[in-house]
Amino acid sequence: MVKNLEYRQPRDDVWDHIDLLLDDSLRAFRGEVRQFLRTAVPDETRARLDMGYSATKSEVVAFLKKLSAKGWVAPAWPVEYGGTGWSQLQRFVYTIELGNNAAPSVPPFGTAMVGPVLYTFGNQDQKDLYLPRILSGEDFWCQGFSEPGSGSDLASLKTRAEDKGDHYLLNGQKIWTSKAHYADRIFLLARTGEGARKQEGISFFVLDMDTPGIEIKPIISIDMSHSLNEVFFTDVKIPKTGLVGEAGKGWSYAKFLLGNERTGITNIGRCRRQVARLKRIARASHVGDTPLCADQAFLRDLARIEADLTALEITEIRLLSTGRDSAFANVGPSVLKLKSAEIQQALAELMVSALGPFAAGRGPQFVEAVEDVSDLPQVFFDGALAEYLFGRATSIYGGTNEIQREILAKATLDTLQ
Amino acid sequence: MSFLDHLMPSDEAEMIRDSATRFTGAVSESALRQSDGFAAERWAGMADLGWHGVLADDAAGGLGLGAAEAAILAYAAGHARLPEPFVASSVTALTALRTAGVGIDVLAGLVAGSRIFAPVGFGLPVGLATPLSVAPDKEGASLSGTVPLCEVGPHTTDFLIFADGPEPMLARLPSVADGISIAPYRGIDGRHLGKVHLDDCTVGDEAILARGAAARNAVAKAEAFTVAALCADAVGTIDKALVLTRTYLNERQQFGRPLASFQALRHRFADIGVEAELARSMAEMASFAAQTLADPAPLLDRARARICRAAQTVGQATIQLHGGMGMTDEMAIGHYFRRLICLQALLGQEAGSLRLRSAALAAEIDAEASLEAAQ
Repeated sequence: MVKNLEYRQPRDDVWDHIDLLLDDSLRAFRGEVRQFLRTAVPDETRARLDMGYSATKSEVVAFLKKLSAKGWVAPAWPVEYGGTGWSQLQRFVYTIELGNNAAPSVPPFGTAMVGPVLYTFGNQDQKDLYLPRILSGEDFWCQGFSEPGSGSDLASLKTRAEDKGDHYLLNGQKIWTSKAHYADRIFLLARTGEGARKQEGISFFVLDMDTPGIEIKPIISIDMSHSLNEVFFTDVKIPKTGLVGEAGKGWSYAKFLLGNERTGITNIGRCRRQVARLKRIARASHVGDTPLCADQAFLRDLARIEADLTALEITEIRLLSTGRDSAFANVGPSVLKLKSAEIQQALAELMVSALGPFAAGRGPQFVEAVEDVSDLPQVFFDGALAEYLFGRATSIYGGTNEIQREILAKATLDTLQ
Repeated sequence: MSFLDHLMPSDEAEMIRDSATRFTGAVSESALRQSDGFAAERWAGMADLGWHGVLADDAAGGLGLGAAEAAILAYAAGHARLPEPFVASSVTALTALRTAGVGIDVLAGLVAGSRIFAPVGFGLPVGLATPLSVAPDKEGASLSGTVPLCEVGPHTTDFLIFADGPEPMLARLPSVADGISIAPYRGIDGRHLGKVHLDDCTVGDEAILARGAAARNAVAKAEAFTVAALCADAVGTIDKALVLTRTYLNERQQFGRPLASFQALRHRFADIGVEAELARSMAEMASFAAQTLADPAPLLDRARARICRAAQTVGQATIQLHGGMGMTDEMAIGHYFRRLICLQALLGQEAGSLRLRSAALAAEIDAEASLEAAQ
C-alpha cells in the first residue's frame, strides 16, 4: 500500500521551469502569494477540489473573505476601483498559484465580467453600489446571455425589455446560467429595440435576483451535478437604474466582456496541479502488472501534455508582455482559449485513464467498495470522472472552440481579401 | 536578463530582422531552385550582413550578439528556405569554437564567410550518438569511426570533430585531411548532407582545440544554440507555409467562391495558426534558455518536442489545403513541407524528444517517492 499520496503543497524553495523565465521580483512575488495561500485555503477545501469537485458556496465565501482582507479579489481592476495595481505578469503568476494551490475559483461573473463593464461603462451610482460588494464577496453574480435559441449566435437573442417610462418590463428566458441558484444579482442582455443588424437594439442590464417574476430551474449536467440553470423572466420590472451605459449599445459591452473572459480561462495553475497529481497516481496505479510510472505510453502522454502546457504558459506570457506585436494581441486570446481547453480535457482524460477501473464511480459507497482493493487513496479516484465530464464544457463556454477558430480564420485568413 | 526582457527585442535585433528580411526578400524562387543546395554569392551576401559572425566577438569581426539574434537569422533562413548551412557552420560550429576558446585567426575566416565548418559527431542532428573512437598517437591522437549524418558538402572547408569517450576531444581538420572520406548525399529539402568516415585519421596536437570537460562543455553549449536556431528556422518555415497557404486559399475558386470561404478549410487553417503560435512561443523560450540557463536541456527538449509536432501538423495541413496542387513539385509549398521534414529530423523528432522527457518524468516520480520514503 502506497501511503501519503495526497498532493503536497509546492515547496517554497523548489522552483520550476516557469520560475526560470521570471525575474527576481516576480519570483519573490510568487513566494509571497504561495505563502498566503498556504493558510488561506483550508485543507478540507483543497482535498475536495483535488478530488475534482467544485467548491461549495460557503467554501468560496470563506476564501473570498480572506482575499478581500488582503485586497486580492480583483487584481486586474484599476486601483481606483479596488485593483492591486499589479503588472499583467504578476496577475499571471497569481492566477497560476491560485490553481496550483487548489484555491476555490474566484467567481468570474463579478470580478472578470460585470465588474469591468460597470467601471468602464456604468454610471457613478452603479459603480458605488456594486463594485465594493463584489470585492467584499457579499454579492454573487450570474450571467444572463445565452438563450435556448441563441448560443453561439448570441446576437439573435429574443428576451425583451420594454421601456415603460419609469421602468423596463422584462420577458424571456436565459439558459446555461451558471450558479444562478447562488446568485444575488444577474447581468443580462435584452432587446430594447430593433435595428438594421441583429446586434443593434440590445441593451445591458443589471438586476437583483430576488425581483418578483424571476424563476430558476436547475439543469443537471452530465457530471450529475447542479451548477447550470434556466432562468425565466415573466413581467419582471427592471428599475431604470438597472440599465448600464446607453440603451441599444449592449452588444458592444458584451463583446468587451467576452474579450476579457477569454484571457482569464487558461487554468494553467490547475493544469500544473493535475500534472503533479498524475505523477503521484502513477506511483500507485497499475497497467496489468506494470506500475503506471514505468508504462511508456502513459509517460509519453504525460510528457506530451507537459510540453503543450509549457507552450501554453509561454504563449500567455508573450501575450501579456508584448505590447508591440498587435497582430498577436488580436489572435492571442483565441489561441489561449482553444489550446487551454484541449489541454485541460487531455489532462482529465489521462487522469481517468490512469485510474484504470477505479475511475468508474463516485460517492461514499463507491469509495467503500474500492478502498480495500485499491492502492489509490480516495482523494484520487472519487471525483475524477466528475471533473472529466464537466471539463467537456471548457471547449464550449466562453465561445466554443469552433467559434474561436472562426475568429482566428477571420483575423489570419481573410486579411488578403 | 530575464525572459521578459528577452521578449522585448532590442533596436539592434530589429535592425538585424529588417536587414535579414530585405536580404531574403530578394531571393527569388528560381534562384533557389537553381542553386543546387549552396550558392557562393548568397553565402557571401550573408557574410556582408554579418550573419556568420552574429555570435562571434567583435575582435573576430563578429557582431557579439546572442542566441536571440542568431534565432532571428535562422528564422529568416527558414522563411526563405535557404539551403546553405547557416545553422551548422555559423551557429553550431561557431559556438563550439568560441566556447572552446579558439583564437581569432580561426574564427575570422568563418565570420568572413571564407571558411565553412561542418560539425561532425555533435550538434546536428540533435541526439545522434557520437560513434567516434580516439586512440593515442605519437603526434596527438587518431580518430576512427563513421558519423552517418552530417551537414557537409562541396563547400565545406573544415571539419569540427567531436569524439566522445573516456578522453573526449574537439578537433579541427581541413576537409581534405588524410583518413577522412565522405559519402555525399542530399537532404530531402536540398541541403548537402553526408556520411563522414574516419579511418585512423591522425589529429596533431595543434588541431585539438579542447579536451575533456572543456570539449564536452563546448559541444553542450553548441548543441543548445543549435536547438534554438533550428527551432527558429522551423518557425520561419512554418510561417512561410502559412503565408503561401493563405494566398492560395484566397485565390483559388471552387463552386464559384474562394476556398477561404469554406468553413472546413477555415478551421483547419485556424488550427495550424494555433500550432504556429505555440511553436513561436517555444522558439522564443529556446533561444532564451540556450543563452541564459546553466542546464537548458529540460526546456529545450520540450521545445523540440512541441516544435516537431507543430512542423508535422502544419506541413501536412498546408499540403492538404493546397489540394492536388500541393502534390506538385512546381508549387513552393511542397518545398517548405520538405524543409519541415528535414528540420524535424535534425531536431531529433518529436518521438526522440519525448523519450527524453518521459525518462525525466519517470526520474522525477522516483525521486519524489524516495524523498517521501526517507521522511
